[in-house]
Amino acid sequence: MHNLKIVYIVDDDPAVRQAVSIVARALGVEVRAFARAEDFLAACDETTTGCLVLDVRMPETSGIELQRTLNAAGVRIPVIMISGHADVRMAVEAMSQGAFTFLEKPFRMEELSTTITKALTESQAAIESARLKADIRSRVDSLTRKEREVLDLILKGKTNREMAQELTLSLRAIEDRRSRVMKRMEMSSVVDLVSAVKGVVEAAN
Amino acid sequence: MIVDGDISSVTHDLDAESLAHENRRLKSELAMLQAADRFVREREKILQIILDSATDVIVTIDQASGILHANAAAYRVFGYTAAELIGQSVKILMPEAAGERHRAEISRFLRTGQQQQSWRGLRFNGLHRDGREFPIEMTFGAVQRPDGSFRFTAIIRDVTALVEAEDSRRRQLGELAHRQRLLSVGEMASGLAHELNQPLLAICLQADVAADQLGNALKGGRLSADESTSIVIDESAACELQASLTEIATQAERASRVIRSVRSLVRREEASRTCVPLAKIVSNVLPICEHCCDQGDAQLVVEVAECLPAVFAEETLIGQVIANLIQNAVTAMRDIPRSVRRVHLSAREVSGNRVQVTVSDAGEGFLPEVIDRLFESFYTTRSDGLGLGLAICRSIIEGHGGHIWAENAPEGGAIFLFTLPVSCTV
Repeated sequence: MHNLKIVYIVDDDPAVRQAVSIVARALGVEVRAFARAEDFLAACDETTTGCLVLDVRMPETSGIELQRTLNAAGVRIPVIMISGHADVRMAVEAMSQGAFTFLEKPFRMEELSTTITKALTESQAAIESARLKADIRSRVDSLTRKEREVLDLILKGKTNREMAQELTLSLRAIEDRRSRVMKRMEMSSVVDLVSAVKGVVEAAN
Repeated sequence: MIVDGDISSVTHDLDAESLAHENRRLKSELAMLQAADRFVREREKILQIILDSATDVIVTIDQASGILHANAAAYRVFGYTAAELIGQSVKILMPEAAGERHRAEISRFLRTGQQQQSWRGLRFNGLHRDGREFPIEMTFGAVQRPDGSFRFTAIIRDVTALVEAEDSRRRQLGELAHRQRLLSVGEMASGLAHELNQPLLAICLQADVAADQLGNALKGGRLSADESTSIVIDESAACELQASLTEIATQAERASRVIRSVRSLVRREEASRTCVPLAKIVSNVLPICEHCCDQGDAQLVVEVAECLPAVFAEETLIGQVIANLIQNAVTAMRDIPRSVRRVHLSAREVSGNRVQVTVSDAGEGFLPEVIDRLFESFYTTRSDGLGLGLAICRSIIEGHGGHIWAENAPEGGAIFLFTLPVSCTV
């Protein structure tokens, strides 16, 4: 299991790197700092979680370029862009590339702490929902063909009677299958089932 | 003229025949003299025509500065007819101070036979009949007569238009230099803002964190209770320390904002952009470019394509970039022979709906590792440079949605190019 609370820092200035690290550490989270965009790229993959504090202006690869590379590589991590220039164009570009937020230097500890906390929360929520989806997906996959038929009809909003008619089965058999579906999906109500499966099953079809 | 006495002296002892002979000789001599007289009068007339058709004023004066002759231009330039001037002192054509200097120079010359200063192209003010002073340029010459006395000729030119043009160019150069200074301040502030923002941010965050930790320790009662720590601070001192740290952070933040506001202050004058033909920008900045090239003994070759479209730009700023690139080109050729110092300025339309201005020189070009850094603030290869000129050029061009870069020319020398988006066709 990954540590969800890691703050990555990429900034070419050692003083800024250290200062941001200290603020993040004071939040009680793990910190990994890099001087170059390339070093971070070498250390991350699509399973990397947490958040990234990224300087826009760096001599080799700029923050914006790194963000683009991460997007292309499928690394989904909230990015907090930091910049010393009140450059509207740059901020717009960063945000349109999907940055979590844009902090203009100078900023205070309070602002940075709050932003990091929010980014980590979002990251965690995203991971949680991804994990949940994967879980539901595997449960759906564990259903037999006959059970799956019933699940699909439930999702279409059919009543037991309609299902019986459609599948030419007795009402009793439908009720039987239906309770097996509920059991395998670990759901206690149809409402829970529909809301959990929605998005997962549709995406599968 | 024939002198009568000569004729009467010969009439006494000559017979009739020789008298008749003598008479014929005298008659023919008279005819010759009359012809010579006509010739001289003719020449004098031609000379007068030449003098009167000159645009410069030509006056002849005697040793006492009395005017002996003046041409027709005197009326146009000074408001006096030639007839009015003859017999007057030449000093009526100049203000008092200049008249005094003139008198001193003439008397020194008469005393020593030496000219104190060059008599060619003297610049001082002339005085018009209506009392108005105006700049004149005078060339002076002395002619010694058989009796040893001197006459002087003065050729005087009204240089009002010339002086105005010079003044306007000087003003233009002054404005350019002023603008350059302003832009330098802006660029410097921008460079400083970036360089200083980093350490200021670090100070800000570090002090904040320190204050925060101290606050936590205070809340937890750790400072006063923990006997094992080697440093023991009482609570009120710790509170003061915490306040100091917070103040450090606040002031660092303030310093950083001050730098940024200076930068935006200098940048504020970007408002006055208009739709202006590129050819006009080039032709307006040309006198300055020519001046730069003259100063560096370099030849300037200008090649502006016909029917260039217009750009939406602040004319003086783009002109500034061109002047700056020309100045750089001239400086880059300081160490090569004068005969090969050549700056080439061209402007043309290029693909992508853009116009491109190119400035190339015959200098040594750049090392490859230098080319990438040329446009950075504070980067310079010159010992006398601040490293802001090209950074300013980049700010200006990119601020106009354009692009600026440098290349080495295949035949040697450096090329600077910039492009600007075309705004509308003219």
